[in-house]
Amino acid sequence: MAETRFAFEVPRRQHAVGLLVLVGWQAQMMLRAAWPILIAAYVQQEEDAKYFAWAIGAGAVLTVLGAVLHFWRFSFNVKEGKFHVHKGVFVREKINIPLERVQAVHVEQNLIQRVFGVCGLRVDTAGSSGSELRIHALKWDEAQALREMLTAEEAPAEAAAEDSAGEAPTTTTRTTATRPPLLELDVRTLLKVGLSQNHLAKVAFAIGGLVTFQGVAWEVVAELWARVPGLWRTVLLFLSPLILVISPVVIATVAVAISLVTSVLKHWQMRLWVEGSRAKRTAALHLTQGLLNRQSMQIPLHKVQWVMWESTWIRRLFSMDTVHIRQAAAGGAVDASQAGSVGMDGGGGMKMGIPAMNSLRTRRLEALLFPSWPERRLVSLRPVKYAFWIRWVKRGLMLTPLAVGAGWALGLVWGLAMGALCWSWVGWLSRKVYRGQWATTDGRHVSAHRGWLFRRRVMIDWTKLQAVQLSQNRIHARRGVAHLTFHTSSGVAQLNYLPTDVARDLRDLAMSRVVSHDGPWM
Amino acid sequence: MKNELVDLAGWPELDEVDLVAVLPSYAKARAVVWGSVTLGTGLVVAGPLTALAVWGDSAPPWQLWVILGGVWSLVMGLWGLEERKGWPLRGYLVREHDVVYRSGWWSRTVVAVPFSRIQHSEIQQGPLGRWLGYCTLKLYTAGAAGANLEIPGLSMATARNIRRLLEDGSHG
Repeated sequence: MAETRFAFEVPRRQHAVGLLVLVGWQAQMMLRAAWPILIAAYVQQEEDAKYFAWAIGAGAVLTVLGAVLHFWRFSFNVKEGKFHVHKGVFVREKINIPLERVQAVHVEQNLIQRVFGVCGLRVDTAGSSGSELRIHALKWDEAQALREMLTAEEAPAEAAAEDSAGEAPTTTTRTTATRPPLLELDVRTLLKVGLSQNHLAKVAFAIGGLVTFQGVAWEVVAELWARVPGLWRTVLLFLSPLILVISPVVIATVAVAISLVTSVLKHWQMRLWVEGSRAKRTAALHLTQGLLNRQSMQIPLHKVQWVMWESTWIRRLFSMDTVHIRQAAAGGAVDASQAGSVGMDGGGGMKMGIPAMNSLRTRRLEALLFPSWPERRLVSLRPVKYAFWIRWVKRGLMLTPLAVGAGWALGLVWGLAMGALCWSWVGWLSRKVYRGQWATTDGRHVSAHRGWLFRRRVMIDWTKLQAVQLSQNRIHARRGVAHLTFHTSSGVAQLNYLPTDVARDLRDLAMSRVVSHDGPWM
Repeated sequence: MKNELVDLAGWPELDEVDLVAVLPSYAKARAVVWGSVTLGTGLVVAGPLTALAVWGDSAPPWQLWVILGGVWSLVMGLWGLEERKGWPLRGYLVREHDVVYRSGWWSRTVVAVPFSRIQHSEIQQGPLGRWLGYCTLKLYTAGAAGANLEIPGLSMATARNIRRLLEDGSHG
């Protein structure tokens, strides 16, 4: 049906509104690149006001010019099972993407795009870095139709026409009608999600804000102070130590408020559901969310490479955790350790993160993403006790200078007390962390847990592995332990401090799963 | 716990005894690199001190010689030890479905990559490699840097053969 209504076979430009969106986008990019210069210029404004104005003017002209050229030279079409894009101002680029290489297509709508009733489209291919493609302005139904074409990989061009005219729409509608959504966030749950965010990051933000505006605040306070009658001044002076008590409360409140607002804006009316048939490999996980920026993402189920559940102690109070689902990532994978790092275009808009997963939803998601889990009785794997000892000693040695300092400044007794306190504290923590580190496997999947206060669980399917790495240093070798790292195309799963022979067996088993698996992996 | 795993058996075990050593000329190349870096850093450290001692107003204190010399010989010695001991451990293995590479003495890693996951390959030969006659085979997967495999010290013929094996094995 898509093909009949919209002609994507002829090369075409974006919707005309795309020009405006592009201007906004380019301006944002320039600001992001040039803000240190702008701040520097602003600070030295008195002498160089003229140059500053000129620079801003030049920047604006360049932005508009860049947007116009980009818009003019950007065209795309879908033909013969390939997505063609022509772009580039000085260097013409022709990009052909075979549809089976498309990993995920996300539709999103920011404020500007909403005002003009268009939306943007992002196409992720697991190619070399920067292979993410963006179309900035398409009508909503056009975007949906294009997405359907791009993700309908199985059907070749001519078969797709009759297929979609005939039975495909009926099956789609039937499956959507019968299957209830996996998750629909109501306002109450949304508020819980907001409350259970990691507030620490926002505390820094709040303090930063207070420090920035304190100059203004002092002026206001001085002004008010001048108007306060004499009697009240004494009272206020008497009460002033209260500020010390109140300010942490204020900062905490601001931090929580920021978390609440950002998560409400981000996850407003979030809906998660599955659409398509598994047999035809069109089943995909869909997610829509957002109040100001509407996002609509989709990951085909068979392209999921790496799943991580993440919880903090606050989230555990509400018994919810957040799950991150990744398809093969453009530009190689991001290591699990740098999962939060900033990618292109404001940091990983292509990753799917779903909050408010309780145990029921987690079970259902597991059944969807890993249908054969558990394939047989689960085997649990634990690190050897040595992992605990080595962690304790390392952390303890790190804190020992504190005890030495205390001993030097306050005397031997205090130093010894401080040392005992540090070492027992670290020992207790190490024990908690050690006990939080374990994994289960069924011979095809592995699910690795780690952490204590911040817990993470990574789950991967061995048939999608890219490489397996076994490493140990001399001391580990003598102790008979080894670290095992399973690399997928979008993250790793690590099992540390396993007995060497278990690690070797697991590696060999995983490798045999990969080579005996002859189906596609992405 | 191990019984459970074994009953899934029939998988080929990777025996590290089977690993094939890389070319001795590559050892020579590593020795050349080590030697020249040792010499170079030695000169950089000792040169200015000697110059000060000869032409300067006052000679640098002998403690400075000891500290700098100690750090230099410690770092270079450890590096040399790693190279010396690590050499016999360095090796690769090409099996029917995967490639394995092992390296490192102090910290040893064994990486196994299945043929079906290799996206593209590259044979690289630098000036040292051309002189001594070895090349580096790089195998790229869709994973992060840790999932790519780099096997240095192969003869050109071996590298080409492994590559051919890849092309035959993969259906793309």
